[in-house]
Amino acid sequence: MKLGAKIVVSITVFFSVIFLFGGYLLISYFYDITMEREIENAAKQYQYNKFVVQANLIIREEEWFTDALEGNYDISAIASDLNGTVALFTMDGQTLFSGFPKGTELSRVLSGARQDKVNYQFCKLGQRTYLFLVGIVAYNDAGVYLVTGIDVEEVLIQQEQIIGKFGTVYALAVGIGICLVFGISVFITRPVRQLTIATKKIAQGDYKERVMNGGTDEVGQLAENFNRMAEAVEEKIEELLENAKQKEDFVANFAHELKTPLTSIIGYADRIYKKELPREEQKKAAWYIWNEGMRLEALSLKLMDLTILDHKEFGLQEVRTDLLFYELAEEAAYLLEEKGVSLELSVEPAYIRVEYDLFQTLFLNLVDNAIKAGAKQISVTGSVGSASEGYITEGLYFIIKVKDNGSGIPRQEIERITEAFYMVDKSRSRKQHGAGIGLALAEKIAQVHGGSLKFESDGKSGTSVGLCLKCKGVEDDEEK
Amino acid sequence: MRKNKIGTMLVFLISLVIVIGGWFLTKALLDQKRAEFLGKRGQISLQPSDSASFLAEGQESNVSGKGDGAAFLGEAVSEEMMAKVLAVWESGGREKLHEPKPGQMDMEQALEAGKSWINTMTEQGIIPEKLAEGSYDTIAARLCSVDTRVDFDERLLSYWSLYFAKDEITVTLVVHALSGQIWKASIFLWEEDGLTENYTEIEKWIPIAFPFMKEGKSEFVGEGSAGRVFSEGKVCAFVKVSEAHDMKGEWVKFLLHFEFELSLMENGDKIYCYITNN
Repeated sequence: MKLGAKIVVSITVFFSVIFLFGGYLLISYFYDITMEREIENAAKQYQYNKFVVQANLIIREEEWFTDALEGNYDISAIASDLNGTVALFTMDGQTLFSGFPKGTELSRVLSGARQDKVNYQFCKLGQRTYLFLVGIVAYNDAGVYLVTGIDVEEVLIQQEQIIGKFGTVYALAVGIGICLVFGISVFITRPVRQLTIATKKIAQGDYKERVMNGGTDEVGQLAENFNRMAEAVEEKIEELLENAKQKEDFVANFAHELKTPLTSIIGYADRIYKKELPREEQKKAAWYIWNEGMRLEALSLKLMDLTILDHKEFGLQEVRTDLLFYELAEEAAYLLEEKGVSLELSVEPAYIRVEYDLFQTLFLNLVDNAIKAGAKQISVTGSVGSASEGYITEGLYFIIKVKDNGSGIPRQEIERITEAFYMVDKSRSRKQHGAGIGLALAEKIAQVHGGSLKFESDGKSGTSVGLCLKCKGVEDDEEK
Repeated sequence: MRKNKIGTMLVFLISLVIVIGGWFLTKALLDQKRAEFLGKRGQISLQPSDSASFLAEGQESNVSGKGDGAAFLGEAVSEEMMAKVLAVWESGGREKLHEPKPGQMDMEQALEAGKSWINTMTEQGIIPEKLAEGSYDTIAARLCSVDTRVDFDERLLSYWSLYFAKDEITVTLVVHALSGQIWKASIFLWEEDGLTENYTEIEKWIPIAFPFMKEGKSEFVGEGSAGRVFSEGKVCAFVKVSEAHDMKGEWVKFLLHFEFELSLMENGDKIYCYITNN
């Protein structure tokens, strides 16, 4: 059963019962008071009539009855002074006077009548209902039954009309109430319905589905929270898809990178095995096998490093930048000299926190990347800046820039340059034993140090790689 | 799904039964209640006039006899109390009928007191003798009180309103139910029935009409009216005679109106002014 229907049914039933119960109590109360009022009014009329009859009894005594029974005295003369419809009976039940319709049998109402108390009862005479008050009016030994009838038909009709009006009001109230409650329930449950539709769509894979914000009430808050949840789910799903794609690409690239050297190794090994080759050719084949094996080894080491970087925590140590880069330059000197590349170093002194071996790998990878891009000149600068300059939110920062005059990276490739196995120029890279892992590794190391590599290149005249790290000024250290 | 639909239909059906059936149930209950009312029989007590039964032990009833024209020995009412009662009567509260309470005169005694007063007035030649004969065309009596709360004995508020009529002469008397004194009287008669020679000294009627009045404080007389202030100056008694003409066939008849009334002195001042100005 739907929530809206539940609301309509429960409210309608609840208010119907309350309305009917309240109406019953009110009308019952009205019955009570109108009937009591009628009895009270009838008692007053009876009292008045009693006085009139009593006065005549006192003045005329029993002669009155005899004269009246014999037709010598017209009681209707005093009856005109009486209130309501009146009948008078002698104590033996003979009718002295009756204002009631002819043939009305009243003897049954006389039984049990007393002088000090008045009996009352309701009786139907023809089409009308009367409230009879019966008592005895006595003087000395003489007495008469005095019957006063008050027509209460109007009161009963009024009661009927009230019930009828109550029924009309009830029907209207229920009708209008159902419409109103239905409208309200539709209004209240609309956000819930929207939520239901949205959840269905999301379940079917439409993660972009959102619900309208339905105000500040609980349902509105639910809608807002639902939207937040949907957004988080969408982001997570996108992230998972991205990761899955990256892994897929990684596996594909890895397989491809394995295949190329293995093909060479298998080919040259097969040649040596199947054919009697001259010593020179054997050496050449063995060199190829060694060379490709080295490539595979380098590839496996770098992949291992990548895996380790993902899962290991490193202890960073504070080092002085000018000394650090001097040492790093020393490390790279052989490589640079071999390739005929000059390195220009200009580093401001400051303190940064690094893991030396990793940072060395990062530096050598950047230098190696520049050499592979055909650079003949590499400049490394390190400068201290403040947060107000926009790199970081607070404190000092140390920005390292490695610039080369190599072939550069096309703008559209820059975003993917740190992906594993991604190579801008694959043939050139492979010739230089590259597998597209170096920059991915460098980025990981930068992240370990709390930074990120920023590549800038126009794709023609070299590349600039920046790395920003938190630092401490030399002055601070000297003050200590 | 189908089970759910059946459940929903069932709930709707039950609620429909409650909403519509509830109405019929309510109507049936109301009809039943009405039928109970109409079948109801009961008794109402009218406070019987057996005043002796309400008297404290050792206290003598002020009713010397019942049903035999017994004289009523009413309780004396002070002028101060008289003023309080008159103030309530004149405030115009709702009139209620009731049976005589302990100490109050019954109807027979009230009628006797009324007749006695009429007889006295006829003996003094104030009203025609034919009223003294006793056989009236119409007699009516009712015991009334004013439906209000007072800080004194409520029985003091009751009065018998008596009406006697014979040959177009009508006498209306207000008899104080506890004291048995006649505090107000109004007589209408045609001029031809009246005794015009006595109208000149109507101030003499006051002690006749109000015999319970002791020596008055002051007296005032005007044309067709006279008054006397009670000893404490709180209540005054006055009498007034006025006439109105009425066309009766070709004849012009004059209707005389005699008024005897006790009134609060505040109102008495107005009456005094009225009387002296006339």
